[in-house]
Amino acid sequence: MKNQIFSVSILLFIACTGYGQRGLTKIPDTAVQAQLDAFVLPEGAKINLFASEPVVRNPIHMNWDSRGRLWVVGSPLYPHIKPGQEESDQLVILEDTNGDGVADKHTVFADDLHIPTGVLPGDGGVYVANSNDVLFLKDTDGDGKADQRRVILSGFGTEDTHHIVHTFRWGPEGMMWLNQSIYIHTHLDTPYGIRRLLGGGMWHYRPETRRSEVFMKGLVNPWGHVFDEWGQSFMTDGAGGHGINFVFPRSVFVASPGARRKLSGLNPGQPKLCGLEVLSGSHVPDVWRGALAAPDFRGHRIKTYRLSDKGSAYQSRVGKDLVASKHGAFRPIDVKMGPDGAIYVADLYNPIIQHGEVDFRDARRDHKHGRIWRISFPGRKKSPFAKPADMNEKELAEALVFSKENVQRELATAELRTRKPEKMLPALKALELKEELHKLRRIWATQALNRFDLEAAKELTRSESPKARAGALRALYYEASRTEGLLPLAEAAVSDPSEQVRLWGVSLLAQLDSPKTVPIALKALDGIEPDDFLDFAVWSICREHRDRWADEMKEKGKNPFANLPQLLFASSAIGERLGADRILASLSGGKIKDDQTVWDIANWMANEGSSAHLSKLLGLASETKAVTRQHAYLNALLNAKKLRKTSPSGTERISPFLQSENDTIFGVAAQLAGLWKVESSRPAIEKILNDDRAPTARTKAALQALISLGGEKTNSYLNQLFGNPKTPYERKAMVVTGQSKVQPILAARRAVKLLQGAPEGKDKFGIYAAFLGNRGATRALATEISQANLPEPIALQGLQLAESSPTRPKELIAAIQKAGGLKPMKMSLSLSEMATMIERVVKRGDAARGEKIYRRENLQCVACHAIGEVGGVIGPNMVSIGASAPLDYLIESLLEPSKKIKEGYHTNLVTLKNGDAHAGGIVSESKTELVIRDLTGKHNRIAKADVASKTISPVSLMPVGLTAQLREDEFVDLVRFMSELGKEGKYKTTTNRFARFWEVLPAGSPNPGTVHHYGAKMFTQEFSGYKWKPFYAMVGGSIPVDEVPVALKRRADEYQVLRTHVEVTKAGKHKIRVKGDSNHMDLFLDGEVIEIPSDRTQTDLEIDCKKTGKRQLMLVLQGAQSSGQVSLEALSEDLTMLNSL
Amino acid sequence: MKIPLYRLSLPVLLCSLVIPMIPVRADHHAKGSAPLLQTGDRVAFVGGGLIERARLNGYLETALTAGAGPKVTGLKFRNLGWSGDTVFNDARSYFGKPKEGRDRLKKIIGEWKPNVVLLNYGAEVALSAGRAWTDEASASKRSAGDWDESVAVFLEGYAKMIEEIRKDAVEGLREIVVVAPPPLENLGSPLPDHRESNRRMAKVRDALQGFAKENKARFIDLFGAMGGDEFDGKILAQSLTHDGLHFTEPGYRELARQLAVGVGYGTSPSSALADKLRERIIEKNRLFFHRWRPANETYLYLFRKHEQGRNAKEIPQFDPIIEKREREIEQLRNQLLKNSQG
Repeated sequence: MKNQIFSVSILLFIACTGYGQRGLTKIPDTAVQAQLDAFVLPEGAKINLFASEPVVRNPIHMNWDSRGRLWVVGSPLYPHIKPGQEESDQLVILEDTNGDGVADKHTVFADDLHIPTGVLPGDGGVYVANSNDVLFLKDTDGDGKADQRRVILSGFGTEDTHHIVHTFRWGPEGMMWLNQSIYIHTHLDTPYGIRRLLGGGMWHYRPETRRSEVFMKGLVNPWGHVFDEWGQSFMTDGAGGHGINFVFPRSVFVASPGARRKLSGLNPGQPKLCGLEVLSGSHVPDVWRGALAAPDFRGHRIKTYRLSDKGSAYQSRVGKDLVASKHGAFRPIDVKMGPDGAIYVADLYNPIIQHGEVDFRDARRDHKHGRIWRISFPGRKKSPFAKPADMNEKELAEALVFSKENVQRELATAELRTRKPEKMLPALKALELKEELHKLRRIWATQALNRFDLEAAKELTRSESPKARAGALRALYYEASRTEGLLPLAEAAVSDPSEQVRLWGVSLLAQLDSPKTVPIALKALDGIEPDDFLDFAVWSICREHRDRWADEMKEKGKNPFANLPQLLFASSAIGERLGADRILASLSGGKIKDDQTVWDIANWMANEGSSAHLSKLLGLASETKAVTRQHAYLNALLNAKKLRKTSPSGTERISPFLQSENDTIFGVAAQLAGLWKVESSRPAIEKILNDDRAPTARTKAALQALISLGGEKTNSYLNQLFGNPKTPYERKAMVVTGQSKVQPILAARRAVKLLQGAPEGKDKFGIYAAFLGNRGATRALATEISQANLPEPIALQGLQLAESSPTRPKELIAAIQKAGGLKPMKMSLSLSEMATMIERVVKRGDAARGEKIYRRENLQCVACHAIGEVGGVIGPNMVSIGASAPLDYLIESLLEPSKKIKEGYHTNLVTLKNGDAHAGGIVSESKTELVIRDLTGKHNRIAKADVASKTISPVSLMPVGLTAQLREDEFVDLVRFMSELGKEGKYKTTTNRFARFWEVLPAGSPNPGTVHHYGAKMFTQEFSGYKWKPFYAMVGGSIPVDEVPVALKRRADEYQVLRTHVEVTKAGKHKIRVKGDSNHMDLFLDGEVIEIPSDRTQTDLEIDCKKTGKRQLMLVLQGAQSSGQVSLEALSEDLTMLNSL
Repeated sequence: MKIPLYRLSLPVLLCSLVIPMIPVRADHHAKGSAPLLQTGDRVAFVGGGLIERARLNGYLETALTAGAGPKVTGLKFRNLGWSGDTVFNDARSYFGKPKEGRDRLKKIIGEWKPNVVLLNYGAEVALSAGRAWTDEASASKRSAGDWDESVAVFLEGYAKMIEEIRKDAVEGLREIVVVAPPPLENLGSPLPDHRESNRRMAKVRDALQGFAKENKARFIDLFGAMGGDEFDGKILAQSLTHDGLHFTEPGYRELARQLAVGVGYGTSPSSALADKLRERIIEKNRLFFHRWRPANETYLYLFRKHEQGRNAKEIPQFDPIIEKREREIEQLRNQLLKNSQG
């Protein structure tokens, strides 16, 4: 039997000779040359060592000063100070005095720091992140060392030392920007009162006013932040995996505690990133200039992205890697443009990163080395740079406004802050400005001097350029608390033709103190289909300024809104039922035409409606013939009952829906009839259960309804059903699972009988799962099993499920082991076994075979883990796991998933008062409700009132024993494949824009019977019998043809059908590339055939996209493919493959 | 004006502060004007950022330990200040509600069992008019309400905190000292004008005076002692804070003098030996910070304990080092007090 093979082979390992720990401690060669040899660079680029140990050790963050010197902080103390150890981390100033691209002078400015994670020279000294505090260090006697130390901000949390305050940067407006990560809870005492930020997010701080404010919240590890040339903010995340994140005031992202709603980044499925910089300046070749460079520290490379406008925000597209390395200790974690136009990279230098998964004191951790690399383009001139510190007022003003070099302007801004405003302002004023960008820069300069030019900013909000208008509004945003009369400006902005400007209009409004802010903000949604960012901003202000409108409306019935959609938006945003009567009246008056609005109203009523409102909904459901509307109303009634225990009157009105021909309507109606205890519905429900041919979904719903109805009648009916020898196994299983909560003891007794006689020795109908989902039921099952015997396979399955259940029920596990005669599952390896295993992976593992194993359906890897853009989102993305995780970690995680759980993937375990256990990630949370995403990706809504406890489970969602079904050689191949992911080579996702997310028709799909007429085109037509299933391309972008099911066989013809979607951003003719034997494939765009010339294996095609938006591409394969693979790739910039549903 | 007001008014303050306090204490303690600290006392400082930052310069502790005089020996001090804290202990909570913060305070009080606890809260209330200063569910909305309501919430929370500290420290707790926060300074635009805030600070002080009496606590008025009652909004040429709120090193030195006077101790002149003592105290505080508020709590003690919790074994290894520093502190203190007597 397969299950045993692996355990047997583990035993064999033990017999092998001990290999010691060498396999674990394969430390990369620490020589500089070894790193130099391992770099992969683009054409024309050169890399050289700027500085290294012992001057720089484990560098974390760096910034330039206005004299062109590089300030670097590093931390050999990381991850945790040892008792008896001094606080001895250093801040070093590096200088290249002769301009040869190598630091030839260094000064240790401070050597008594404690895990410094941020450094920012300015204001005559330097700001340093020092764990709990932000320090300002100053050299007052000119000896190059700090002799004055002042705590500027204190109260930053240190719950995890790679999350502590970091990513310092001067903004163009002269404020200091700083970030913190997920586990950090910060409480700042400021002269304006306490400011708190619990969880990740970004602050801005103005040193001269000592004002600190939170700008945005969330992101797991927001380790990168840049401003684009118009001053908009973009961030990266060291764990979130969404590439570039566009952030704006009050925006909330992943992992923000208690967030009701969160925004997403611009590139889902990207690796974890640390640091962010805009490649800029004249030294950088055109192909790189303007790209965003973000170090992928796990994958030993620096990725690039390009931004373009999209709606109120941006889209971000992945570009080529700037640099990559095959050296396992190259950890780029900060990247900054240098004054000479070269690109400087801080390399933490460590084979081991972070300290959640690998021990604090792991011997492989490096505490000695550190490198600063410099990437230049020798064929090109250096960028011009003048030290802002040496400039007079006029020169400084010109540099600030006119310089084309970002670094020149940034350092000029830092310098400006140290100058006297009386001298600088006239110099700035004297500049003659024509371009809008220059005008904005001058406004920023006045802000940096704390002498804001309000009139210029106001004028710029009327600029022709939407970028300038948005920039001016952002400048005003910071000044709102001390500036009067901004309301008309904000009001004009929310109706701006540009959605980006609208977004800033709403952001500015949120700062203003007027009773009218919410009605004005809602105008931003008028006349457009708002994207998530703008929608979020308006939603957010409705909530934040609730008291300005809702109370008055409640008390005086005064509706401040111009129309019903606005009222609906605002009222549902705050989670109240203001104006519900009005809206329901227009609904029944037939004034609301589109279905989406109907759903919005129904969902809102589900959350907020009174019993009378729900009665109206039931009435509306009875009146309409449209199935989608019936569904909307009934679904709302069901949620209201489940989540708020609120029901309408006249519940017997549900009965007619039990006659519905639509399975969905029947299902919801049956659940309602059961929960509302509508006795008169019993016959209709029983009728379904008496019908052997009723579809499973209907039967399940009917059974559930019957159990909800309860009582003696239900019991005797179910007893009779279970006792009837003619009742099929599946239906008996349904009875048992259905009863598990209400009559656990009886159900458990029956369950054991069923399990003992399970067909094919498998629990196919979720009996174990049902009992594991409820504490009472679990206990009952344990009692029953402890007195019985179970066949080994069924016991093994139960054991695996119980071991990976978040509640990990000990009694049940013991009972199953005893009943099945199983030995305890021992999945861990001894040190010598591990060493042997590692050796085998390295020597014999075959990554290509491993990928095939990874993709096997029964292993379910793909269902939960994405690699890059595609795959499940339940577990961590595997895109660069090989490059970041040591082999022992990979092996251990496969065998014992709960031993180390990735940040952000801890499972919340919510137990309800009735004993039901829900595990998964919390998607959102409100006063009354909790939404949990479970293992299957399903969102479960739970009433907070039902919650008995909420804890973080120490058990991984990854089932135990998944790999037990593998042979040893298969396991070795699988590990090898995973260990290659993200490393230089075949298993690093490329920037080619392949269609990676496909849907296929399953084997033996029903045949609409028109294939003789239409040929392959038949599959492009809508047919209810098609049940499309997700299918993912391989890491390299191709589709393995042998894995695609044969959807239809007709005589000698076999059809394999795949479809994917593409987003067209601009109408016109666009290029795609198809790989595969053209004689055996057909391609369709929205059902129209695209001709592919014959006898080709690779074809570049032009497709005519007359419309923008989402379009379907379908590939139908007939007959063998010579390479066994096909692929589809977008070449045109205006096509984006849609790699999720 | 070169000499700040509070220097001039010291003798006046001594009369107005120390003398009225004696009958108050006499009401509740038979000991009359017994000195604050006794041999072997364990003294805890609890409060927000003012206390937390005091650990970095050691002035408050040095002033008290020296002020207690040579007859009192074996004193130990712990700085339990936490930036951004409130009387509901918001800032001491990590992943939970403020209650978790209260529990963290109770834990250290229960473990260390102080005999004397000095409490400093109130500035956060005065600075947050109209804005919630706590997330404690039962108090948050009221804390953002009108001023009287905000102060009422503050006093209720404060009383409850004292009650819980008394319960956790058990019988060994002899003295609770309520320290009214010092005034804010006006340093000129663009820093905020604190006239309004200081008016509120004065009201907080007034309220705390009666409050201390009701709660059988000593009261020290740092607001008055540091010149709060004479505050006229003028921009100071020589400031003791660097942003109006946070004290500079000289500022803490002055605070420490006033604190010593407030508890009825003399002030000792600065000396090389006193500085050495203070340096050692700073070092002890640094070590204690790593012991009490270690970084990486998520892994050491909280929900990722199953991954890296084994590293928590290192944390108690700070104890012998702290004890060693405390022995050195005791020696230096003896030397200092001997010298000053001689």
